[in-house]
Amino acid sequence: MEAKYQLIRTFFDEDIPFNKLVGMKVTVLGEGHAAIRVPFKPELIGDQRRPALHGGVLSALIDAAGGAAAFTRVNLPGDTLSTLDMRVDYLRPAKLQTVIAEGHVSRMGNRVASVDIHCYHEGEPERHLATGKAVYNVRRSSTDKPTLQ
Amino acid sequence: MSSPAVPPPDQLLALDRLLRLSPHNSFLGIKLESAKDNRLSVSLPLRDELLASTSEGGVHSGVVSSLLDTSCSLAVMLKLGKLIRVATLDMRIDYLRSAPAEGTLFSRATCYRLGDQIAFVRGVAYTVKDGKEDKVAEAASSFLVIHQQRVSA
Amino acid sequence: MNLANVLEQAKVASDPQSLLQCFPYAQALGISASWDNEKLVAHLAFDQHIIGDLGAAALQGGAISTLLESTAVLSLLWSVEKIQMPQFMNHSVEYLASGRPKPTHAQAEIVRHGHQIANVRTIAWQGDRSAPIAAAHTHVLLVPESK
Repeated sequence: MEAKYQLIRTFFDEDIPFNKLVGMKVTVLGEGHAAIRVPFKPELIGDQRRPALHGGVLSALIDAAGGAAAFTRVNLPGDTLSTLDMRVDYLRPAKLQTVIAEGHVSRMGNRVASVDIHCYHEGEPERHLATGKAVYNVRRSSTDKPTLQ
Repeated sequence: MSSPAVPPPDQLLALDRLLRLSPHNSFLGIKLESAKDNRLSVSLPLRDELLASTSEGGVHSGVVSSLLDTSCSLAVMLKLGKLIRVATLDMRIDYLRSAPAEGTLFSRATCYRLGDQIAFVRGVAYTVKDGKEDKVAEAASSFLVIHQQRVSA
Repeated sequence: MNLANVLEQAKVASDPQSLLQCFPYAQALGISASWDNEKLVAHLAFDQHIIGDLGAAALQGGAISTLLESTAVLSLLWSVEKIQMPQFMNHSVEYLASGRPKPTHAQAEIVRHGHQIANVRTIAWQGDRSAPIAAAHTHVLLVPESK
C-alpha cells in the first residue's frame, strides 16, 4: 500500500507541472481519501481588493484532491483516471492563507468514481471555503476492459 | 417582515403539514420521517406508476430528483427555523447505482451553509436493507431564501 | 413491452409519442413528445399534481427535472443505432425562473456522443422559448455498468 501511495505522491507533487506551479503537496493518503495542501503565495490572489484567493485555485485543488482520493482505490501502476465532471460550490472567499482540500470517495464503480471534496484553511477544518463533487473516468489496464462497439 | 422562530415540535408538525400541502409531494407520497439537528429525512414508498421503464430497471430518476428536491428544500427551512419560502437555484445529482423498483426510498438532507440569501444543501437518497443504508444518489444543491415570503402551513 | 421493438416502430412511424408507453412515470406525470421543426420536443402538461408549492403556485423542481431527464433520454434513444436503456451518471439542473401553472416544453441537444458516455444539454421553457425556466447538463452512461 505504501508503494502505491508513494506513486500517487510523486505523480501529484512532481509529475504534474500545473500542481507544482500552484504549489500543491499531497499531505494525507488513505484508502478512499486524500488531502492536498497549498501554501499561500501572492500569485494565487484572484481579487487584490478583497483580497481573496482566485476561485480557480480552489477548483484546481478540489479536482486534484478528488483525483488523489480516487487513485487510492485503483490498481497502480496501470489504471488511469480522468475528470469527467466536477461541481464546485464556493461558500466563502478564501483568505490569503494556506488552503487544504480533502477528498473522500463516495462510490467506486468499475468505470466511474464519485468523490466528495471540501476545502478549508489550515487550522480551521470545520469552516469550509468550498465544496465539490467530482466524477472520474477509470480506465482499467487489466484485460476486463469494456469492449467498444 | 420577520417570522418568529418555530420551536422544534411545532416545527416538525409545520414541516409535515407543508409537505402534505404540496400537491406534487402528495402525488408521489413523500412523508416526513424526522427532523433534528439540521438533518431531515423523508421517505417514499415505491409503486409501479413511478417506474422509469416497463421493460427493466427501477423507479424513474425523476422520482429521485423530486425526493431530493423535497428533502433539500425542507432542510433549508429546518436550518432557518422558520417557514420561509425557498427556491431551488440548482441541483446536481449523482446517480450512484440503479434505483430500486420496490420497497421504500429514503432521503436525508443537511443544510451545511446558510448565508443571508443562499443556502447550500447536500442530500442523499438511499434504501435500507437489513438495517443497512445503501446509497442510490447524492445531491449538491443551492437554494435562494426568499425572506419576504413566509409559507403558511 | 420490449423497448427495442417499440423504438423501432416509433422510428418507422416517426412518432416519438409512442415511445412514452415504455415510460410509466413520465406518462403518469403527464409528459408527451412531438416534433417541432424536425426536433424532438417533450412537453409536461400542467396538472395540479406537479405543483410543489401551493402558495406560490410554482411547479416542483423535481417535476421540471423529470421533464429535462426524460427529454434527454428520449432524444438519446432516438439518435442511437444500438438500443440500450441509458443509465444516468449525473444530472445537474439550474433553475432560472419558477415554473408557472401552464405547459412546459423541453428540448435536448446531444453535445457529445461517445462510445461509453454521452453529454446532453437540455432546456425547458414555458411560453417563450428564448426565456428558459431551467437548463440541465446530463451525463449518461451508454453501456450500463456491471455491478
